[in-house]
Amino acid sequence: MRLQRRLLLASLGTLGIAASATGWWWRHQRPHAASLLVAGANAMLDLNRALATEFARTRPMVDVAVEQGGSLAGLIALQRGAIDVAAMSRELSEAEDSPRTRSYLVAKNDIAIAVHPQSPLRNLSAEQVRAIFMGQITEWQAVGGPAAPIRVVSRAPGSSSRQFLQELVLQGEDFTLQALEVGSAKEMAQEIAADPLAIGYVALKDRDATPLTYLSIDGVPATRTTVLSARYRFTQPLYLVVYGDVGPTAQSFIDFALGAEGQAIVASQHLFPVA
Amino acid sequence: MNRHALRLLFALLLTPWLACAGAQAAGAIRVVGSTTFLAFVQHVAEDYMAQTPDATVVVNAGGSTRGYKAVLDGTADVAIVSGKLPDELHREFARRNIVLSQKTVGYRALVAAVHPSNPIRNLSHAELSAVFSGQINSWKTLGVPQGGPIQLLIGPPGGGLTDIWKTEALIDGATFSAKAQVRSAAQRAAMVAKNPDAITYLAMNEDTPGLAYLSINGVPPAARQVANGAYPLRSQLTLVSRVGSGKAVEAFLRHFEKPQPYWVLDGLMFANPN
Repeated sequence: MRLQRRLLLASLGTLGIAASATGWWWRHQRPHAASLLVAGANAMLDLNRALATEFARTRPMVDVAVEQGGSLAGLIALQRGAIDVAAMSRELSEAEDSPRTRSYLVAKNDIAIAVHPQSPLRNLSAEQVRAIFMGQITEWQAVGGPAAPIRVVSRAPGSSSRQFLQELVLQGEDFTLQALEVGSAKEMAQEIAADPLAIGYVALKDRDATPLTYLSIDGVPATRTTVLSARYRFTQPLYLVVYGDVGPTAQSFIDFALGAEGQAIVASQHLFPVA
Repeated sequence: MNRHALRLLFALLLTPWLACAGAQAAGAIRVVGSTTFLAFVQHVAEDYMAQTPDATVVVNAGGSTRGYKAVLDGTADVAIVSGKLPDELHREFARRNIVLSQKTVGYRALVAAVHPSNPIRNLSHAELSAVFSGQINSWKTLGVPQGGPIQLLIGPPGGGLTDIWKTEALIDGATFSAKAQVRSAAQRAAMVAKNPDAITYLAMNEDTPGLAYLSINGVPPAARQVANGAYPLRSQLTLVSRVGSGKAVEAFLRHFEKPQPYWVLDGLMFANPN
């Protein structure tokens, strides 16, 4: 918990400094330009950059800056007026929500648990997935597979997919120390495709043509409809959040993200459009 | 309703800025609200998308209050609501000239659950209230010769189910016993399954090994009795939207009108009001 608080404060500090510096620079460089600061979830960085680039391209008098720093840091910065739009890769908790906060769902992501196509497994419970990635279950036999050790493959720290799995599936706990860490989604897919005893995870945006078997979770496969309905449990809602009196530029950015152009960008980022 | 929900509710009434129009999704139907009925709405949403080309229905939990707020501030089209619209919010919607459509599409029984070895299978509503308020604290008082002290398990304050149980099951302004242990629904079910002296409340599941559900005033929590109100403890699923939300929302709401008397989805039972 103490480590989490330190990380949060570090993220908030970094985000605050970045947002303040960027804002100061803007307002002195282009006094007549409208500015927009978007910051928050690391998992939304690529999406926000793509949205901001296209939004600014058609609005030459708008300067847009995109920062990361984490969902909570983004929300706090938003509520303190340091940024205009917070990016959040989760629902607001009841304590975080307020009547002055508006959360616009702009996309959905999911993460699939992947095994080798020769694996007899087609389904795991969410609890089994958690136990496997934490190292509490180390034999395939314990979950209906062969009498052989499980080889866990994970992304290296800093990966948004790893963070997604750690927050959503492991509920903040650490991965097993026995996990093989790889540096990219492509390496992850290659490792699993090469080893019938491997298990790993691939976010929707990272899935390619590598032949892998994606498991159902609690009997629910990851499909467009189960992800949109949230019945598939390992889904990640991606929100743009505004607070208080929303300026016209921020509202215009939200409208853009939810409009046809913005949702096309969502699809181009290999995320599920939601509007 | 807990402190945060209350704060949210009353602050809503004081912030006219929320009346400004939010960005509207072009074609998607955005649904937010009660977790009690989430599974039901998720299945209907998936079925609707399967039968309606190009339809997009996005469902998110968050509770009834957040569902109302999302409809009010324009970030959702449909609120999943268990319970009635609070009068304060009703007035706030009216003040902003937002006319609401409210459609009751299902019920879920709320049940008192005991260990199967407990011989009690029925309580009067008054006895049930007395048990959960602590006025009756021994199974012997209820006619179990070898019965010990009642182990009372309740949910966290502010939880939707707990709020409804307090409103519907406790009578004459009674409150929960101070001796009750507070646990999550899953923990309560597991504890009752192991403890013959325990009692708790849960939302009705069809298949509940290790638990026995009680009749109230001699009426079992069966689908027909839940739907017609003979069984008194139930949560009502209402879908709330703005009148004039569009044909897509109206078509989605019609998709809830099914002929069967009840549905069982993922082991959860929902009664049809029709």
